[in-house]
Amino acid sequence: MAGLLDAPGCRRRLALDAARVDLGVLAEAIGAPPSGQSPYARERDGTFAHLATARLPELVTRHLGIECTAAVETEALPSGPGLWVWREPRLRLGDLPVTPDQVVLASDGTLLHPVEIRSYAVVDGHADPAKVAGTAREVAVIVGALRQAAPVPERISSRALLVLPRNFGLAPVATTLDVAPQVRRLGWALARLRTDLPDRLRRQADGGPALQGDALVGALAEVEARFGDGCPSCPMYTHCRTGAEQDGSVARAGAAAANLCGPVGLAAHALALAHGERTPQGESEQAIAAELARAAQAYGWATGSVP
Amino acid sequence: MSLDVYQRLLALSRARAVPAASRAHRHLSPRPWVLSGYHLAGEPSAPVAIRYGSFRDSPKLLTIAEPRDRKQRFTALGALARDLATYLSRYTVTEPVVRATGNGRELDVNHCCVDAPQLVVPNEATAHWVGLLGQYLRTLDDPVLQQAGAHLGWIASRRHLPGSSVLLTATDLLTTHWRTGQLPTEDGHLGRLLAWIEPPAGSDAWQAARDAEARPPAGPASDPAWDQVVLRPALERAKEQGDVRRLKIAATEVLDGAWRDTWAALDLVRLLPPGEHVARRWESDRWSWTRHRERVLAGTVSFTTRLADVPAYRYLHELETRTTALDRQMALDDPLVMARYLATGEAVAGVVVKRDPEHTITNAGGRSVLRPLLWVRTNAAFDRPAGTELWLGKLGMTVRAATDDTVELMVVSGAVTRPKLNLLPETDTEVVLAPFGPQQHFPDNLPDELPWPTRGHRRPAAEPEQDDELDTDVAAGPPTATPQPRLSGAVPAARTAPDGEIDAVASGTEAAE
Ligand code: SF4
Repeated sequence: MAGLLDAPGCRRRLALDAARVDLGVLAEAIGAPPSGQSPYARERDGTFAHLATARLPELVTRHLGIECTAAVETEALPSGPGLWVWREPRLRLGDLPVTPDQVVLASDGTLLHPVEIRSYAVVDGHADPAKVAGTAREVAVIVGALRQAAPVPERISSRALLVLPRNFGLAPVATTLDVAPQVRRLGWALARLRTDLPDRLRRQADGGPALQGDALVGALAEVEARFGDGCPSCPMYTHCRTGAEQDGSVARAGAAAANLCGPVGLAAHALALAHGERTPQGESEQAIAAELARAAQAYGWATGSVP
Repeated sequence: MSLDVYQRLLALSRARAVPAASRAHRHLSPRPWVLSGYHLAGEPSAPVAIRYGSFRDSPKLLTIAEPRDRKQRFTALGALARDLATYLSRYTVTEPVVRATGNGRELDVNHCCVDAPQLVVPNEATAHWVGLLGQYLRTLDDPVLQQAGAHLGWIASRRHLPGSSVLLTATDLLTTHWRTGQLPTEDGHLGRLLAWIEPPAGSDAWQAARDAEARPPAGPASDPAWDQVVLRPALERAKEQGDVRRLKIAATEVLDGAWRDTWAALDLVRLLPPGEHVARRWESDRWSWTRHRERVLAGTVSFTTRLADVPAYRYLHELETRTTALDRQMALDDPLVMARYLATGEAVAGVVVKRDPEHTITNAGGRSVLRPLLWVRTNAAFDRPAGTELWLGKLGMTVRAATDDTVELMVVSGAVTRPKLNLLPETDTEVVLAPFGPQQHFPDNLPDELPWPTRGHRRPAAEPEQDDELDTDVAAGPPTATPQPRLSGAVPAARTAPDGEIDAVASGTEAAE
């Protein structure tokens, strides 16, 4: 679900979430290598989650100022102050189901703060920014879903408590993480979620039969894609890049190239403009042609070749 | 930069990388220490296998049967520490260097190591791991390991200084000198990158890159499926039956690719003639190594992760200075790099069509001084305003006027006296006028106090020692935007950091999108 925020410019990526595509089915359909977690990473996650859970009351008290002694199980959105564990909540975000294994919430009686435990380390006060950003996206989805479930959405705070192991051991430390920007972007992505979904995918999104194999890939291929720097982490990556390679699209070479070439989508066209073998159409193409031509000349000068 | 994009498009359409440099812009040691390895998923302080050494054909292989066991880790890392010490001991020979001090009136003799060590790793992630290993070793209760930690800390700290060649990553080496047609993020994969530069006969870059992806990753994170299918049984066998053969075979197999690729990257860059400024930049690394050794001998090595305000300001200033200096030096050394400035229009290429060496102006003091004029025919209009400074080697000039195909320039330095007029280019010479000259000075106008208020109080003692005018050792990355004072943890004392001091970096990174 957090994929919603991963590549915000790409509609195809959104369609994956909107149509609730099963990523395993998708990987098989496009012949992508299986993704998985190392057994060692899983073990570490388990061990740390266990250790951190035991220390949660203390960390919550220290960082959020909420007095609590132990986590209490709950079956619904908790109302009173304290530390709550809600196992297998069935939440929704827009029309999409959000079903985490558990949600931990710390409440001072008015505001509910999500608590997240992760096992990547904080070394000397620094955690890997990419990982923290990933967690922030996931927490934002939970916050969005909880707000949708809450009678008073404002009671769900976007200030989460993130618990991580310190340095090279497993001693838990905590910090607060405000995911308000991610929650805002989530709203934006949700608003666009169902627009231009091909019929077949829309039927699946509405609870119809799930597409398989080529039918699934074909339906997704109908949705406009924007290939770019974030793609390697997307489940469609191997499929989209083959498409971009076959088309010879500028975007295959990255966002900088795509931005500079703007409306000129094909590398062959861009190069023809650069080499004066194609007449630019309109003002923007003229500007692009001028810039690329200067680059081509400079390259020719430096390599002693005429491009 | 538009040249970058153009090169990427060329590479894309040719299905092969194109050169982005025609000189080697990093110092390449004749005897580097190459290291690649894997650690247990999620645990950088638990190495599973490390391959290292200075000889391509006879690498050392360390395997740790129970990476989570402190004692086994100690033994293995101890071996690594001793081998590192042996390698570093080759770089202890010094030579006297005479440097002018004061106002250039006094001479000072300093000793500088004639050469410095160089560590080469496959990718950024491994370089980061080297820093983490150093940090980990410094927390251990053993002088040999601590010293290795101090060395790795110094090596890792140089990575963040543009222009330093103490810690090289093969991916950075290759992306500095070649441009591919794939995503810049994909360039971080050493196998893919090499496939673009030298696709095996009969296959284009796309296919070769896909093939490279299917091979084991270059580390330090291993492939999850490999962990499950190969590593786990091998580790279990080693643990239960004390038989490490299977583990060694498995490790040799997976680490072989990264090992060969790293050497291949070195070979490729070695084919290029070195850029002229490379030796100067390496000298700065040698000075830093010399100072680091002195500190190790005196037992005064210290690392800080967060600098206090003034040192942080200095450090940022230094990074900026070094970045600019590196860009300029590379451009002056290498036409392919200078071409970037031509592509943006900051530099001008053309032919001298007319000269007026006798041209004079009246200076502020009322004296008439020689200021020769040059007219250069260009093939594109020069669109910067009059007064723009341009350089032809040591000749400094300013633009007087520019038309669609001609630039009129006045020489203001380098050839403004009669004896030096012969330095002016003749007519019909092809010239490239750069937006900067060879010797630019970056005045270090640093205040003793920061011009803005900061949190906390200043601790002048936390300032890291300066190696030379352009050197600062920082253990891990540039300081955060709001530097907080923190005492440097000295080796060997273990650092104690209060709980809960984590930078919430996520909202910042995300908001910037
Ligand atoms: S891989 Fe495809 S679907 Fe995924 S973000 Fe990129 S272009 Fe969009």
